[in-house]
Amino acid sequence: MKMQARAALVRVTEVLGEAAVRRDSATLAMYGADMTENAPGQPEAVLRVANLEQLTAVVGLAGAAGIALTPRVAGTNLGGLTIPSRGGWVLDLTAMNRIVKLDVDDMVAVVEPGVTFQQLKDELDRHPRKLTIGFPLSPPDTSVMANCLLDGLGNLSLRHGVMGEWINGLEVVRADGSLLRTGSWALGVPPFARAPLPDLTGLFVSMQGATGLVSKLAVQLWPSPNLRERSFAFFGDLAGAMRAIRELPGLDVLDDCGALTWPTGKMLLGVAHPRERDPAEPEVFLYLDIGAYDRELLRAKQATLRRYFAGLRADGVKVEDPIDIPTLVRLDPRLGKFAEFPTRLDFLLDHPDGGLTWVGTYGPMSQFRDGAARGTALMVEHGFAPTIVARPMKGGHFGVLRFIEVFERKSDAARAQVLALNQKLADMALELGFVMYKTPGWAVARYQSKLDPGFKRLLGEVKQLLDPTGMMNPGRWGLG
Amino acid sequence: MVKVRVLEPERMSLPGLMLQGILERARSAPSSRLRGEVLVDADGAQVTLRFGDQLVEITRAPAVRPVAVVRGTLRALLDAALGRGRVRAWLAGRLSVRGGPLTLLRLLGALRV
Repeated sequence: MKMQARAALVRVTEVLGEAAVRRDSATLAMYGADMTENAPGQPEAVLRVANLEQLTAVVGLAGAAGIALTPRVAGTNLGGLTIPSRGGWVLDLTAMNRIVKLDVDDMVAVVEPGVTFQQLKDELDRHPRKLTIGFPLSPPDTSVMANCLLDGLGNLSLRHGVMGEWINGLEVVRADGSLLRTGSWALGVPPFARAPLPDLTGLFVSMQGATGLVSKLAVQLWPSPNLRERSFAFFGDLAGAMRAIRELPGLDVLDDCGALTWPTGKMLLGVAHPRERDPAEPEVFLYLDIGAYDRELLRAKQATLRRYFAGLRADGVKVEDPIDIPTLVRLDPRLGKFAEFPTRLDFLLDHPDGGLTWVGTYGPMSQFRDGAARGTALMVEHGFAPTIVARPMKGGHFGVLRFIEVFERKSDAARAQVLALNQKLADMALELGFVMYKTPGWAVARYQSKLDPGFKRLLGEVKQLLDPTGMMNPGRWGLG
Repeated sequence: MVKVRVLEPERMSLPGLMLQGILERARSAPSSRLRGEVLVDADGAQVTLRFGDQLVEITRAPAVRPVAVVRGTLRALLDAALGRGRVRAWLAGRLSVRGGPLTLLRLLGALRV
Protein backbone atom coordinates (compact mmCIF):
# COMPACT_ATOMS: atom_id res chain seq x y z
CA MET A 1 0.00 0.00 0.00
CA LYS A 2 1.30 3.45 -0.91
CA MET A 3 2.27 5.80 1.90
CA GLN A 4 -0.51 8.24 1.01
CA ALA A 5 -3.11 5.48 1.12
CA ARG A 6 -1.73 4.23 4.43
CA ALA A 7 -1.99 7.71 5.90
CA ALA A 8 -5.56 8.04 4.60
CA LEU A 9 -6.46 4.77 6.28
CA VAL A 10 -5.05 5.98 9.59
CA ARG A 11 -7.02 9.19 9.26
CA VAL A 12 -10.25 7.46 8.25
CA THR A 13 -9.88 5.13 11.24
CA GLU A 14 -9.74 8.21 13.47
CA VAL A 15 -12.92 9.52 11.85
CA LEU A 16 -14.97 6.30 11.89
CA GLY A 17 -13.49 4.51 14.89
CA GLU A 18 -11.50 1.28 14.80
CA ALA A 19 -14.52 -1.00 14.93
CA ALA A 20 -15.83 0.51 11.69
CA VAL A 21 -12.67 -0.20 9.69
CA ARG A 22 -12.16 -3.86 8.78
CA ARG A 23 -9.09 -5.27 7.09
CA ASP A 24 -9.18 -8.93 8.14
CA SER A 25 -8.99 -11.40 5.28
CA ALA A 26 -12.45 -12.92 5.90
CA THR A 27 -14.17 -9.54 5.70
CA LEU A 28 -12.17 -8.45 2.66
CA ALA A 29 -13.02 -11.71 0.90
CA MET A 30 -16.71 -11.38 1.74
CA TYR A 31 -16.93 -7.81 0.47
CA GLY A 32 -14.75 -8.57 -2.53
CA ALA A 33 -17.19 -11.07 -3.99
CA ASP A 34 -20.87 -11.78 -4.51
CA MET A 35 -23.02 -14.71 -5.54
CA THR A 36 -22.55 -14.17 -9.29
CA GLU A 37 -20.02 -15.47 -11.79
CA ASN A 38 -18.20 -12.12 -11.79
CA ALA A 39 -14.56 -12.35 -10.74
CA PRO A 40 -13.89 -11.28 -7.16
CA GLY A 41 -12.05 -8.04 -6.37
CA GLN A 42 -9.59 -7.19 -3.64
CA PRO A 43 -10.62 -4.28 -1.44
CA GLU A 44 -7.97 -2.80 0.82
CA ALA A 45 -10.47 -2.00 3.57
CA VAL A 46 -14.16 -2.18 4.37
CA LEU A 47 -15.50 0.95 6.04
CA ARG A 48 -18.78 0.98 7.90
CA VAL A 49 -20.14 4.48 7.44
CA ALA A 50 -22.90 5.59 9.80
CA ASN A 51 -23.88 9.13 8.79
CA LEU A 52 -23.54 11.91 6.25
CA GLU A 53 -20.68 13.63 8.08
CA GLN A 54 -18.66 10.44 8.04
CA LEU A 55 -19.50 9.86 4.38
CA THR A 56 -18.32 13.30 3.28
CA ALA A 57 -15.16 12.91 5.37
CA VAL A 58 -14.43 9.51 3.82
CA VAL A 59 -14.97 10.85 0.29
CA GLY A 60 -12.65 13.80 1.04
CA LEU A 61 -9.89 11.54 2.38
CA ALA A 62 -10.24 9.03 -0.45
CA GLY A 63 -10.21 11.79 -3.04
CA ALA A 64 -7.04 13.33 -1.65
CA ALA A 65 -5.27 9.94 -1.60
CA GLY A 66 -6.61 8.66 -4.94
CA ILE A 67 -8.46 5.71 -3.37
CA ALA A 68 -11.33 4.06 -5.22
CA LEU A 69 -14.69 3.88 -3.44
CA THR A 70 -17.29 1.17 -3.96
CA PRO A 71 -20.64 1.66 -2.21
CA ARG A 72 -22.50 -1.38 -0.95
CA VAL A 73 -25.58 -2.22 1.09
CA ALA A 74 -26.90 -5.80 0.81
CA GLY A 75 -24.61 -6.76 -2.07
CA THR A 76 -27.30 -8.97 -3.59
CA ASN A 77 -27.50 -7.37 -7.04
CA LEU A 78 -26.79 -9.91 -9.77
CA GLY A 79 -24.54 -7.67 -11.85
CA GLY A 80 -21.39 -7.82 -9.72
CA LEU A 81 -21.86 -4.08 -9.15
CA THR A 82 -20.48 -3.99 -5.60
CA ILE A 83 -17.34 -5.92 -6.44
CA PRO A 84 -14.47 -3.44 -6.13
CA SER A 85 -12.88 -3.87 -9.54
CA ARG A 86 -9.91 -1.69 -8.68
CA GLY A 87 -9.40 -2.34 -4.98
CA GLY A 88 -9.72 0.64 -2.68
CA TRP A 89 -12.33 0.98 0.02
CA VAL A 90 -15.73 -0.67 0.09
CA LEU A 91 -18.22 1.55 1.88
CA ASP A 92 -20.74 -0.51 3.80
CA LEU A 93 -23.72 1.85 4.05
CA THR A 94 -26.10 -0.45 5.95
CA ALA A 95 -25.78 1.69 9.10
CA MET A 96 -26.98 4.79 7.23
CA ASN A 97 -30.51 3.56 7.64
CA ARG A 98 -32.68 6.47 8.73
CA ILE A 99 -36.07 7.06 7.24
CA VAL A 100 -35.49 10.79 7.30
CA LYS A 101 -39.04 11.77 6.42
CA LEU A 102 -42.26 10.01 5.66
CA ASP A 103 -44.70 12.47 4.16
CA VAL A 104 -47.96 10.59 3.84
CA ASP A 105 -49.86 13.64 2.55
CA ASP A 106 -47.51 14.17 -0.36
CA MET A 107 -46.77 10.45 -0.70
CA VAL A 108 -43.00 10.67 -0.56
CA ALA A 109 -40.35 9.08 1.66
CA VAL A 110 -36.84 10.41 2.17
CA VAL A 111 -34.48 7.59 3.01
CA GLU A 112 -30.79 6.94 3.49
CA PRO A 113 -28.93 4.23 1.55
CA GLY A 114 -29.26 1.53 4.22
CA VAL A 115 -33.05 1.69 4.51
CA THR A 116 -34.41 -1.69 3.48
CA PHE A 117 -37.70 -2.62 1.87
CA GLN A 118 -38.82 -4.43 5.02
CA GLN A 119 -37.93 -1.44 7.18
CA LEU A 120 -39.87 0.96 4.98
CA LYS A 121 -42.84 -1.40 4.81
CA ASP A 122 -42.92 -1.72 8.61
CA GLU A 123 -42.88 2.06 8.93
CA LEU A 124 -45.60 2.52 6.30
CA ASP A 125 -47.77 -0.11 7.98
CA ARG A 126 -47.81 1.98 11.16
CA HIS A 127 -49.67 4.85 9.46
CA PRO A 128 -53.45 5.01 9.19
CA ARG A 129 -53.27 6.15 5.56
CA LYS A 130 -52.23 3.03 3.74
CA LEU A 131 -49.33 3.69 1.41
CA THR A 132 -46.88 1.30 -0.15
CA ILE A 133 -43.79 1.12 -2.30
CA GLY A 134 -43.09 -1.42 -5.02
CA PHE A 135 -41.26 -4.48 -3.77
CA PRO A 136 -38.73 -6.28 -5.94
CA LEU A 137 -38.25 -10.04 -5.87
CA SER A 138 -35.03 -9.46 -3.97
CA PRO A 139 -34.68 -10.17 -0.24
CA PRO A 140 -36.44 -7.90 2.29
CA ASP A 141 -33.08 -6.60 3.56
CA THR A 142 -32.11 -5.05 0.24
CA SER A 143 -31.79 -1.31 -0.15
CA VAL A 144 -34.70 0.79 -1.42
CA MET A 145 -32.21 3.36 -2.67
CA ALA A 146 -30.06 0.87 -4.54
CA ASN A 147 -33.04 -0.58 -6.39
CA CYS A 148 -34.22 2.91 -7.38
CA LEU A 149 -30.78 4.15 -8.43
CA LEU A 150 -30.14 1.01 -10.46
CA ASP A 151 -33.45 1.31 -12.32
CA GLY A 152 -34.74 -1.90 -10.78
CA LEU A 153 -38.39 -2.83 -10.71
CA GLY A 154 -40.99 -3.77 -8.15
CA ASN A 155 -44.45 -5.21 -7.91
CA LEU A 156 -46.02 -1.89 -8.94
CA SER A 157 -43.88 -1.50 -12.03
CA LEU A 158 -46.64 -2.70 -14.32
CA ARG A 159 -48.44 0.51 -13.41
CA HIS A 160 -45.57 2.88 -12.66
CA GLY A 161 -42.48 1.73 -14.56
CA VAL A 162 -38.92 1.29 -13.32
CA MET A 163 -38.16 2.53 -9.83
CA GLY A 164 -35.65 5.04 -11.18
CA GLU A 165 -38.68 6.97 -12.42
CA TRP A 166 -40.09 7.13 -8.90
CA ILE A 167 -37.20 9.27 -7.69
CA ASN A 168 -38.32 12.79 -6.82
CA GLY A 169 -34.89 14.02 -5.83
CA LEU A 170 -31.48 13.07 -4.51
CA GLU A 171 -28.90 14.34 -2.09
CA VAL A 172 -25.48 13.46 -3.45
CA VAL A 173 -21.95 13.57 -2.08
CA ARG A 174 -19.80 14.54 -5.03
CA ALA A 175 -16.25 13.38 -5.58
CA ASP A 176 -14.89 16.64 -4.19
CA GLY A 177 -16.81 16.08 -0.95
CA SER A 178 -19.43 18.74 -1.68
CA LEU A 179 -23.18 18.13 -1.51
CA LEU A 180 -25.89 18.72 -4.05
CA ARG A 181 -29.64 18.23 -4.16
CA THR A 182 -31.71 17.51 -7.26
CA GLY A 183 -35.36 17.83 -8.24
CA SER A 184 -37.60 20.37 -6.56
CA TRP A 185 -35.41 19.82 -3.49
CA ALA A 186 -32.80 22.04 -5.17
CA LEU A 187 -35.00 25.04 -4.38
CA GLY A 188 -35.31 24.13 -0.73
CA VAL A 189 -38.92 23.04 -1.10
CA PRO A 190 -40.11 19.48 -0.43
CA PRO A 191 -39.04 16.92 -3.04
CA PHE A 192 -42.44 16.57 -4.70
CA ALA A 193 -41.11 15.90 -8.21
CA ARG A 194 -38.09 16.11 -10.52
CA ALA A 195 -39.93 18.60 -12.69
CA PRO A 196 -39.85 21.44 -13.54
CA LEU A 197 -36.15 22.10 -12.93
CA PRO A 198 -33.49 20.72 -15.28
CA ASP A 199 -33.41 17.01 -14.48
CA LEU A 200 -29.98 16.47 -12.96
CA THR A 201 -31.21 13.40 -11.07
CA GLY A 202 -30.55 11.36 -14.18
CA LEU A 203 -26.81 11.98 -13.78
CA PHE A 204 -26.90 9.51 -10.89
CA VAL A 205 -29.48 6.97 -12.06
CA SER A 206 -28.22 3.68 -13.53
CA MET A 207 -24.70 5.12 -13.17
CA GLN A 208 -23.87 2.42 -10.59
CA GLY A 209 -22.24 4.93 -8.25
CA ALA A 210 -19.76 6.13 -10.87
CA THR A 211 -20.74 9.81 -10.64
CA GLY A 212 -21.34 10.37 -6.92
CA LEU A 213 -22.49 8.79 -3.69
CA VAL A 214 -26.16 9.29 -3.03
CA SER A 215 -26.81 9.97 0.64
CA LYS A 216 -30.56 10.62 0.53
CA LEU A 217 -33.30 9.54 -1.82
CA ALA A 218 -36.75 11.06 -2.08
CA VAL A 219 -38.99 8.35 -3.49
CA GLN A 220 -42.64 8.24 -4.47
CA LEU A 221 -45.09 6.14 -2.48
CA TRP A 222 -48.39 4.82 -3.77
CA PRO A 223 -51.82 4.26 -2.24
CA SER A 224 -52.25 0.70 -1.03
CA PRO A 225 -55.61 -0.77 -2.04
CA ASN A 226 -57.93 -1.95 0.71
CA LEU A 227 -58.39 -5.31 -0.97
CA ARG A 228 -55.91 -7.44 -2.82
CA GLU A 229 -56.07 -10.79 -4.57
CA ARG A 230 -52.97 -12.58 -5.74
CA SER A 231 -53.33 -15.68 -7.86
CA PHE A 232 -51.59 -18.02 -10.26
CA ALA A 233 -52.77 -19.25 -13.63
CA PHE A 234 -51.12 -22.32 -15.15
CA PHE A 235 -50.39 -22.13 -18.86
CA GLY A 236 -49.75 -25.20 -21.01
CA ASP A 237 -47.13 -23.48 -23.12
CA LEU A 238 -44.84 -20.48 -23.34
CA ALA A 239 -46.51 -18.99 -26.40
CA GLY A 240 -49.90 -18.76 -24.68
CA ALA A 241 -48.38 -17.19 -21.58
CA MET A 242 -46.40 -14.65 -23.60
CA ARG A 243 -49.56 -13.69 -25.44
CA ALA A 244 -51.30 -13.10 -22.12
CA ILE A 245 -48.37 -11.06 -20.81
CA ARG A 246 -48.69 -8.77 -23.82
CA GLU A 247 -52.45 -8.46 -23.69
CA LEU A 248 -53.16 -8.28 -19.96
CA PRO A 249 -51.88 -4.72 -19.39
CA GLY A 250 -54.53 -3.56 -21.85
CA LEU A 251 -57.30 -4.79 -19.52
CA ASP A 252 -56.16 -2.25 -16.92
CA VAL A 253 -57.21 -4.47 -14.02
CA LEU A 254 -53.84 -5.72 -12.76
CA ASP A 255 -51.33 -4.14 -10.41
CA ASP A 256 -48.73 -6.75 -11.28
CA CYS A 257 -48.30 -9.67 -13.59
CA GLY A 258 -45.37 -12.01 -14.13
CA ALA A 259 -44.67 -15.23 -15.95
CA LEU A 260 -42.43 -17.83 -14.34
CA THR A 261 -41.39 -20.90 -16.28
CA TRP A 262 -41.65 -24.43 -14.89
CA PRO A 263 -38.20 -24.71 -13.24
CA THR A 264 -39.06 -21.81 -10.91
CA GLY A 265 -42.24 -23.54 -9.80
CA LYS A 266 -40.41 -26.78 -9.13
CA MET A 267 -37.62 -25.07 -7.20
CA LEU A 268 -40.32 -23.37 -5.17
CA LEU A 269 -41.63 -26.85 -4.38
CA GLY A 270 -38.26 -28.05 -3.17
CA VAL A 271 -36.55 -29.47 -6.25
CA ALA A 272 -33.03 -28.05 -6.30
CA HIS A 273 -32.19 -29.11 -9.85
CA PRO A 274 -35.30 -29.51 -12.02
CA ARG A 275 -34.14 -31.25 -15.17
CA GLU A 276 -37.11 -32.40 -17.13
CA ARG A 277 -40.57 -31.27 -18.02
CA ASP A 278 -43.46 -33.59 -18.79
CA PRO A 279 -44.79 -32.18 -22.08
CA ALA A 280 -48.31 -32.35 -20.66
CA GLU A 281 -47.61 -30.33 -17.52
CA PRO A 282 -47.86 -26.53 -17.32
CA GLU A 283 -44.88 -24.75 -18.85
CA VAL A 284 -45.57 -21.35 -17.31
CA PHE A 285 -47.17 -20.01 -14.13
CA LEU A 286 -48.62 -16.56 -14.49
CA TYR A 287 -48.66 -14.54 -11.30
CA LEU A 288 -51.53 -12.03 -11.15
CA ASP A 289 -52.14 -9.28 -8.62
CA ILE A 290 -55.40 -7.33 -8.39
CA GLY A 291 -55.97 -4.47 -5.98
CA ALA A 292 -59.24 -2.65 -5.38
CA TYR A 293 -60.74 0.03 -3.19
CA ASP A 294 -63.82 -2.03 -2.40
CA ARG A 295 -65.30 -5.48 -2.93
CA GLU A 296 -67.48 -4.36 -5.83
CA LEU A 297 -64.47 -3.17 -7.80
CA LEU A 298 -62.53 -6.32 -6.92
CA ARG A 299 -65.37 -8.49 -8.21
CA ALA A 300 -65.59 -6.46 -11.40
CA LYS A 301 -61.86 -6.90 -12.00
CA GLN A 302 -62.06 -10.63 -11.26
CA ALA A 303 -64.93 -10.94 -13.71
CA THR A 304 -62.95 -9.13 -16.41
CA LEU A 305 -60.04 -11.51 -15.85
CA ARG A 306 -62.31 -14.57 -16.04
CA ARG A 307 -63.79 -13.33 -19.32
CA TYR A 308 -60.28 -12.76 -20.66
CA PHE A 309 -59.18 -16.29 -19.72
CA ALA A 310 -62.34 -17.75 -21.24
CA GLY A 311 -61.46 -15.92 -24.45
CA LEU A 312 -57.96 -17.39 -24.40
CA ARG A 313 -59.40 -20.89 -24.01
CA ALA A 314 -61.81 -20.23 -26.85
CA ASP A 315 -58.76 -19.39 -28.96
CA GLY A 316 -57.19 -22.73 -28.08
CA VAL A 317 -54.77 -21.55 -25.37
CA LYS A 318 -54.34 -24.23 -22.72
CA VAL A 319 -55.07 -22.36 -19.49
CA GLU A 320 -57.59 -22.50 -16.68
CA ASP A 321 -58.92 -19.74 -14.46
CA PRO A 322 -56.41 -18.38 -11.93
CA ILE A 323 -56.25 -19.97 -8.48
CA ASP A 324 -55.84 -17.55 -5.60
CA ILE A 325 -52.70 -17.94 -3.53
CA PRO A 326 -54.41 -18.61 -0.16
CA THR A 327 -56.05 -21.62 -1.80
CA LEU A 328 -52.71 -22.82 -3.17
CA VAL A 329 -51.13 -22.32 0.26
CA ARG A 330 -53.74 -24.66 1.74
CA LEU A 331 -52.46 -27.30 -0.67
CA ASP A 332 -48.79 -26.50 -0.08
CA PRO A 333 -47.53 -23.71 2.19
CA ARG A 334 -44.37 -23.34 0.10
CA LEU A 335 -46.51 -21.65 -2.52
CA GLY A 336 -46.98 -18.79 -0.07
CA LYS A 337 -43.71 -17.19 -1.16
CA PHE A 338 -45.71 -14.91 -3.45
CA ALA A 339 -48.46 -14.17 -0.94
CA GLU A 340 -46.83 -11.15 0.69
CA PHE A 341 -44.07 -8.72 -0.25
CA PRO A 342 -41.23 -8.20 0.37
CA THR A 343 -40.45 -11.89 0.13
CA ARG A 344 -37.31 -13.95 0.28
CA LEU A 345 -36.96 -16.45 -2.56
CA ASP A 346 -34.75 -18.75 -0.52
CA PHE A 347 -34.95 -21.54 -3.08
CA LEU A 348 -32.76 -19.31 -5.28
CA LEU A 349 -30.77 -17.33 -2.70
CA ASP A 350 -29.88 -20.31 -0.50
CA HIS A 351 -29.47 -22.79 -3.32
CA PRO A 352 -27.03 -25.58 -2.37
CA ASP A 353 -24.82 -24.72 -5.37
CA GLY A 354 -24.24 -21.23 -3.93
CA GLY A 355 -24.17 -19.33 -7.23
CA LEU A 356 -26.99 -17.23 -8.64
CA THR A 357 -26.89 -15.03 -11.69
CA TRP A 358 -29.02 -13.77 -14.52
CA VAL A 359 -29.34 -11.91 -17.71
CA GLY A 360 -32.00 -9.38 -16.69
CA THR A 361 -33.21 -7.22 -19.56
CA TYR A 362 -35.74 -4.56 -20.45
CA GLY A 363 -37.09 -4.56 -23.96
CA PRO A 364 -40.01 -4.35 -26.36
CA MET A 365 -42.97 -6.55 -25.56
CA SER A 366 -43.47 -7.23 -29.25
CA GLN A 367 -40.34 -9.41 -29.02
CA PHE A 368 -41.21 -11.23 -25.77
CA ARG A 369 -42.28 -14.44 -27.39
CA ASP A 370 -39.18 -14.73 -29.57
CA GLY A 371 -36.89 -13.69 -26.73
CA ALA A 372 -38.33 -16.23 -24.33
CA ALA A 373 -38.29 -19.02 -26.91
CA ARG A 374 -34.72 -18.33 -28.05
CA GLY A 375 -33.54 -17.91 -24.46
CA THR A 376 -35.13 -21.22 -23.49
CA ALA A 377 -33.34 -22.96 -26.35
CA LEU A 378 -29.96 -21.43 -25.40
CA MET A 379 -30.32 -22.38 -21.74
CA VAL A 380 -31.25 -25.96 -22.55
CA GLU A 381 -28.41 -26.20 -25.08
CA HIS A 382 -25.96 -25.17 -22.32
CA GLY A 383 -27.34 -27.67 -19.83
CA PHE A 384 -29.37 -25.25 -17.68
CA ALA A 385 -33.01 -25.45 -16.74
CA PRO A 386 -34.86 -22.72 -18.68
CA THR A 387 -35.70 -20.50 -15.74
CA ILE A 388 -37.31 -17.38 -17.14
CA VAL A 389 -39.25 -14.55 -15.56
CA ALA A 390 -41.16 -12.12 -17.78
CA ARG A 391 -43.19 -9.13 -16.67
CA PRO A 392 -44.87 -6.26 -18.48
CA MET A 393 -43.88 -2.79 -17.29
CA LYS A 394 -45.44 0.65 -17.32
CA GLY A 395 -48.80 -0.29 -18.74
CA GLY A 396 -47.20 -2.57 -21.29
CA HIS A 397 -44.91 0.00 -22.91
CA PHE A 398 -42.04 -2.41 -22.37
CA GLY A 399 -41.24 -5.46 -20.32
CA VAL A 400 -38.65 -7.29 -18.30
CA LEU A 401 -37.29 -10.59 -19.52
CA ARG A 402 -34.89 -12.42 -17.22
CA PHE A 403 -32.94 -15.59 -17.67
CA ILE A 404 -31.89 -16.97 -14.28
CA GLU A 405 -29.26 -19.59 -13.51
CA VAL A 406 -28.08 -21.30 -10.35
CA PHE A 407 -24.58 -22.73 -10.55
CA GLU A 408 -21.78 -24.13 -8.44
CA ARG A 409 -20.09 -20.96 -7.34
CA LYS A 410 -16.93 -22.63 -6.12
CA SER A 411 -16.29 -24.32 -9.46
CA ASP A 412 -14.24 -22.32 -11.96
CA ALA A 413 -15.61 -24.46 -14.77
CA ALA A 414 -19.19 -23.75 -13.73
CA ARG A 415 -18.50 -20.03 -13.53
CA ALA A 416 -16.97 -20.06 -17.00
CA GLN A 417 -19.89 -22.08 -18.33
CA VAL A 418 -22.49 -19.72 -16.91
CA LEU A 419 -20.61 -16.66 -18.15
CA ALA A 420 -20.47 -18.12 -21.66
CA LEU A 421 -24.21 -18.74 -21.55
CA ASN A 422 -24.95 -15.27 -20.18
CA GLN A 423 -22.92 -13.66 -22.95
CA LYS A 424 -24.90 -15.57 -25.58
CA LEU A 425 -28.18 -14.70 -23.88
CA ALA A 426 -27.25 -11.02 -23.70
CA ASP A 427 -26.26 -10.99 -27.39
CA MET A 428 -29.45 -12.74 -28.41
CA ALA A 429 -31.51 -10.38 -26.26
CA LEU A 430 -29.85 -7.30 -27.72
CA GLU A 431 -30.55 -8.53 -31.25
CA LEU A 432 -34.23 -8.45 -30.30
CA GLY A 433 -33.96 -5.06 -28.61
CA PHE A 434 -33.54 -6.13 -24.96
CA VAL A 435 -30.94 -4.27 -22.89
CA MET A 436 -29.53 -5.53 -19.58
CA TYR A 437 -30.36 -3.48 -16.50
CA LYS A 438 -28.08 -3.39 -13.43
CA THR A 439 -25.65 -3.96 -16.27
CA PRO A 440 -22.62 -6.07 -15.34
CA GLY A 441 -19.16 -5.12 -16.57
CA TRP A 442 -18.95 -8.01 -19.04
CA ALA A 443 -22.18 -6.83 -20.70
CA VAL A 444 -20.98 -3.20 -20.80
CA ALA A 445 -17.88 -4.43 -22.66
CA ARG A 446 -20.15 -6.10 -25.25
CA TYR A 447 -22.27 -2.96 -25.61
CA GLN A 448 -19.31 -0.62 -26.16
CA SER A 449 -19.01 -1.12 -29.91
CA LYS A 450 -22.76 -0.71 -30.37
CA LEU A 451 -23.28 2.42 -28.29
CA ASP A 452 -24.14 5.59 -30.14
CA PRO A 453 -20.84 7.52 -30.40
CA GLY A 454 -22.44 10.74 -29.19
CA PHE A 455 -23.91 8.98 -26.15
CA LYS A 456 -20.59 7.34 -25.37
CA ARG A 457 -18.70 10.62 -25.64
CA LEU A 458 -21.11 12.49 -23.41
CA LEU A 459 -21.07 9.68 -20.87
CA GLY A 460 -17.29 10.00 -20.66
CA GLU A 461 -17.53 13.77 -20.36
CA VAL A 462 -20.11 13.49 -17.57
CA LYS A 463 -17.82 11.09 -15.72
CA GLN A 464 -14.86 13.41 -16.19
CA LEU A 465 -16.87 16.37 -14.94
CA LEU A 466 -18.30 14.67 -11.86
CA ASP A 467 -15.43 12.36 -10.99
CA PRO A 468 -12.23 13.70 -12.54
CA THR A 469 -9.94 11.35 -10.61
CA GLY A 470 -12.04 8.26 -11.37
CA MET A 471 -12.48 7.29 -7.72
CA MET A 472 -16.22 6.58 -7.78
CA ASN A 473 -16.85 2.86 -8.32
CA PRO A 474 -14.27 2.79 -11.11
CA GLY A 475 -14.76 0.54 -14.10
CA ARG A 476 -18.55 0.81 -14.18
CA TRP A 477 -19.84 1.52 -17.66
CA GLY A 478 -16.22 1.23 -18.76
CA LEU A 479 -15.45 4.53 -17.06
CA GLY A 480 -12.76 5.68 -14.65
CA MET B 1 -47.51 -40.31 10.04
CA VAL B 2 -47.15 -41.56 6.52
CA LYS B 3 -43.96 -40.78 4.64
CA VAL B 4 -44.24 -39.44 1.11
CA ARG B 5 -41.28 -39.85 -1.20
CA VAL B 6 -40.87 -38.45 -4.69
CA LEU B 7 -38.73 -40.72 -6.85
CA GLU B 8 -36.36 -38.78 -9.13
CA PRO B 9 -37.61 -35.36 -8.01
CA GLU B 10 -35.57 -33.60 -10.71
CA ARG B 11 -37.81 -35.34 -13.29
CA MET B 12 -41.08 -35.03 -11.40
CA SER B 13 -43.91 -33.05 -12.93
CA LEU B 14 -45.67 -30.20 -11.20
CA PRO B 15 -48.83 -32.28 -10.52
CA GLY B 16 -46.62 -34.93 -8.88
CA LEU B 17 -44.93 -32.35 -6.66
CA MET B 18 -48.27 -30.86 -5.70
CA LEU B 19 -49.60 -34.32 -4.88
CA GLN B 20 -46.66 -34.75 -2.53
CA GLY B 21 -47.71 -31.60 -0.68
CA ILE B 22 -51.35 -32.73 -0.60
CA LEU B 23 -50.52 -36.22 0.70
CA GLU B 24 -48.27 -34.76 3.39
CA ARG B 25 -50.97 -32.38 4.53
CA ALA B 26 -53.99 -34.63 4.08
CA ARG B 27 -56.54 -34.56 6.88
CA SER B 28 -56.06 -38.25 7.45
CA ALA B 29 -53.25 -40.66 6.71
CA PRO B 30 -54.01 -43.17 3.97
CA SER B 31 -55.89 -46.16 5.27
CA SER B 32 -53.65 -49.16 5.88
CA ARG B 33 -55.99 -50.99 3.54
CA LEU B 34 -55.10 -48.69 0.67
CA ARG B 35 -52.41 -50.60 -1.16
CA GLY B 36 -51.09 -50.74 -4.70
CA GLU B 37 -50.66 -48.27 -7.51
CA VAL B 38 -52.96 -45.38 -8.34
CA LEU B 39 -52.66 -43.55 -11.63
CA VAL B 40 -53.29 -39.82 -11.51
CA ASP B 41 -53.60 -38.03 -14.82
CA ALA B 42 -53.64 -34.22 -14.70
CA ASP B 43 -54.31 -32.83 -18.16
CA GLY B 44 -52.25 -35.69 -19.59
CA ALA B 45 -49.35 -35.43 -17.12
CA GLN B 46 -49.40 -38.85 -15.49
CA VAL B 47 -47.94 -39.85 -12.16
CA THR B 48 -48.21 -43.06 -10.21
CA LEU B 49 -48.85 -43.13 -6.49
CA ARG B 50 -47.59 -46.32 -4.85
CA PHE B 51 -49.31 -46.89 -1.53
CA GLY B 52 -47.30 -49.18 0.74
CA ASP B 53 -46.73 -49.70 4.44
CA GLN B 54 -46.43 -46.21 5.98
CA LEU B 55 -44.98 -44.97 2.71
CA VAL B 56 -46.34 -43.42 -0.46
CA GLU B 57 -44.00 -43.17 -3.41
CA ILE B 58 -44.69 -40.80 -6.30
CA THR B 59 -43.14 -41.68 -9.61
CA ARG B 60 -43.50 -40.90 -13.28
CA ALA B 61 -43.02 -44.57 -14.06
CA PRO B 62 -46.27 -45.90 -15.53
CA ALA B 63 -48.66 -47.78 -13.24
CA VAL B 64 -48.66 -51.46 -14.18
CA ARG B 65 -51.97 -52.59 -12.76
CA PRO B 66 -53.52 -49.59 -11.00
CA VAL B 67 -56.15 -50.19 -8.33
CA ALA B 68 -57.63 -46.79 -9.18
CA VAL B 69 -57.36 -44.14 -11.86
CA VAL B 70 -58.10 -40.46 -11.35
CA ARG B 71 -58.18 -38.20 -14.38
CA GLY B 72 -58.96 -34.53 -14.63
CA THR B 73 -57.75 -31.07 -15.28
CA LEU B 74 -55.12 -29.86 -12.81
CA ARG B 75 -57.64 -27.33 -11.52
CA ALA B 76 -60.31 -30.02 -10.98
CA LEU B 77 -57.82 -32.22 -9.11
CA LEU B 78 -56.73 -29.34 -6.87
CA ASP B 79 -60.36 -28.41 -6.20
CA ALA B 80 -61.08 -32.03 -5.33
CA ALA B 81 -58.21 -32.01 -2.84
CA LEU B 82 -59.83 -29.00 -1.22
CA GLY B 83 -63.21 -30.74 -1.15
CA ARG B 84 -64.65 -28.28 -3.64
CA GLY B 85 -67.02 -29.10 -6.45
CA ARG B 86 -66.08 -32.75 -6.94
CA VAL B 87 -69.53 -33.70 -8.13
CA ARG B 88 -69.82 -30.65 -10.39
CA ALA B 89 -66.41 -31.36 -11.91
CA TRP B 90 -67.38 -35.00 -12.41
CA LEU B 91 -70.68 -34.05 -14.05
CA ALA B 92 -68.91 -31.53 -16.28
CA GLY B 93 -66.42 -34.18 -17.37
CA ARG B 94 -63.47 -32.35 -15.82
CA LEU B 95 -62.85 -35.15 -13.32
CA SER B 96 -63.23 -38.89 -13.65
CA VAL B 97 -62.42 -41.73 -11.27
CA ARG B 98 -62.21 -45.48 -11.83
CA GLY B 99 -61.70 -48.24 -9.31
CA GLY B 100 -63.46 -50.13 -6.56
CA PRO B 101 -65.79 -47.98 -4.44
CA LEU B 102 -63.94 -48.73 -1.19
CA THR B 103 -60.56 -48.01 -2.77
CA LEU B 104 -61.85 -44.72 -4.16
CA LEU B 105 -63.31 -43.75 -0.81
CA ARG B 106 -59.98 -44.40 0.91
CA LEU B 107 -58.09 -42.62 -1.86
CA LEU B 108 -60.23 -39.49 -1.75
CA GLY B 109 -59.71 -39.34 2.02
CA ALA B 110 -55.95 -39.51 1.55
CA LEU B 111 -56.04 -36.69 -0.99
CA ARG B 112 -58.18 -34.24 0.97
CA VAL B 113 -56.39 -31.41 2.75
